[in-house]
Amino acid sequence: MSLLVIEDIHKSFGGNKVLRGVSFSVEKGEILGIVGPNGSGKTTLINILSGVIKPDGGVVVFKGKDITGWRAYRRAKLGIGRTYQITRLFTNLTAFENVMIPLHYGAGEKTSVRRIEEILETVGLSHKIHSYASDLSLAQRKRLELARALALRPELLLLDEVFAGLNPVAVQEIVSLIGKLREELGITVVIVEHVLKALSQLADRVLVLAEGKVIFSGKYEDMVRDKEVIKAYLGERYGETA
Amino acid sequence: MAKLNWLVLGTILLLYALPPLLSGYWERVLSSVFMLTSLTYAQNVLLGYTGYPAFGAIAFFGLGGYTTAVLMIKVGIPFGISLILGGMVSGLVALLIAPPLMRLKSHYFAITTLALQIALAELSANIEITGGAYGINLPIYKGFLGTTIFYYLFLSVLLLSFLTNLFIERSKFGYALKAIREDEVAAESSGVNTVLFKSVSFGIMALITGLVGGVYAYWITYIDPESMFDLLLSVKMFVALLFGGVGTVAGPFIGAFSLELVSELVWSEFIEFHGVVLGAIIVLVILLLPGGILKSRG
Repeated sequence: MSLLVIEDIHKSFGGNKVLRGVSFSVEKGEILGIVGPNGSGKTTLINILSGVIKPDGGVVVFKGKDITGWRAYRRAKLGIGRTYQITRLFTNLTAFENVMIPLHYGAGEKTSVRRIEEILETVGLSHKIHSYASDLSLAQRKRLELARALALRPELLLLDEVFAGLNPVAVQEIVSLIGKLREELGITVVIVEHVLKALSQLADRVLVLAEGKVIFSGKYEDMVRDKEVIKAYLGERYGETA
Repeated sequence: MAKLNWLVLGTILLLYALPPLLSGYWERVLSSVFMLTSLTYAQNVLLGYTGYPAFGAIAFFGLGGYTTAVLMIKVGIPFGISLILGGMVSGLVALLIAPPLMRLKSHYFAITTLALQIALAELSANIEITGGAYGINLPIYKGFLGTTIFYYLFLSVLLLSFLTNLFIERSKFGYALKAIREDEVAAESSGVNTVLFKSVSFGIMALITGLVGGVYAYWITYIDPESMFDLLLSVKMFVALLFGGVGTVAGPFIGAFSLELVSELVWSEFIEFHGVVLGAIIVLVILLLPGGILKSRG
């Protein structure tokens, strides 16, 4: 059974039809990349999966449960963690507190210093445990947001442009971190991304969204050769300069 | 910061021993200081920890005061029970209206609570049970301790509101509120039931504010819509909070005490300019002390 199944998801904002019948499923332990041009509905899709917004139509099934109408906090408790395109940390709280809140309210675990240190260690931030989130660099904030999602003990991690704005070294570090999370914790990852190089290293499968529809689903190597994808997203000259 | 909180607690406890040394005048001055401090603490739960500014929080002061008065006069329930019921009614009403009301944020939320305050003032001026524009006369209290009882009542509500703030500052419950203040969407995706927690926060604010209103009603023995839904009280409460430090445990105490004592000592000399001085203080606080005397991280 697939960990996550979504069927025929529709969503409009006013007259703007952002998603027009999106369906796919994600297997346990898989890393699925979602790409597409700006405005193709990627972030909307992540928001619908995490419960931040409700779809107009369609079904979201996670671990065999229909969670379409569930609010975000219940999905978090059930094991869906996420990060945001522009980080949304508890900026006036410390790294410790940022992790403690989901650990207590999401995972329902005892919030011992050791456990929180352990989670921060996973993302390489244990030395910043008492720093305020607002004092961290962008790369560190992205790591802290990842730590906050991990504190939920998620089975599914939704990453919305986690590499945006990072330098190549930081991108590589997070690529190996995500790989490690899958290897060691068996976490399933859905990752929306523009940094294709990072995706090529991580994703088992890539989904291409264009104008609110899935136009491609398959291996990364096949995607870059797909005529429709080239037309809608990559452009005819893709690969010439890369 | 923690040391300062214990100092405030010590001061509150010491104030219990003070009445034998106080003149009637000082007893009244301090009672009104305690009143403003409690209101400021109530608002701190909501604005300081949860990030929602209820500019019309005095709606619940009036609701608590009127409920207490109506229960005493029209139903004949003793003051003590009426007071507690007044606070509870106030808290429950807040809890019920919070889920739709708190879909609004920042100034939209602030203005809507103000609308609630004005609506309740109009309502109390136009229905019979509240005595309409004439208001309600309450009997003068002549029992145990005489009027000093109000000093102790206000002080006890202050102690309660202080302890509530201390609890929120240090507990997991408080972290749910702080998460909402910092980023409501992120709080929700961290597993915090934001609708529940912000409603409870609103309810706590209204409960304390309602209790203060109930004590006030019996203290001044005559209530009317103007005195129970006083806009200036809302303004003073916010100035005290901004002045002392939003989202800190000691801030409301420091802010409200200094504001109310200054108001009592200096402004009584300039009755005509009361509003001008208050306005000037607001401007100065915002310009010079944007985080208040005690600046929190929030």
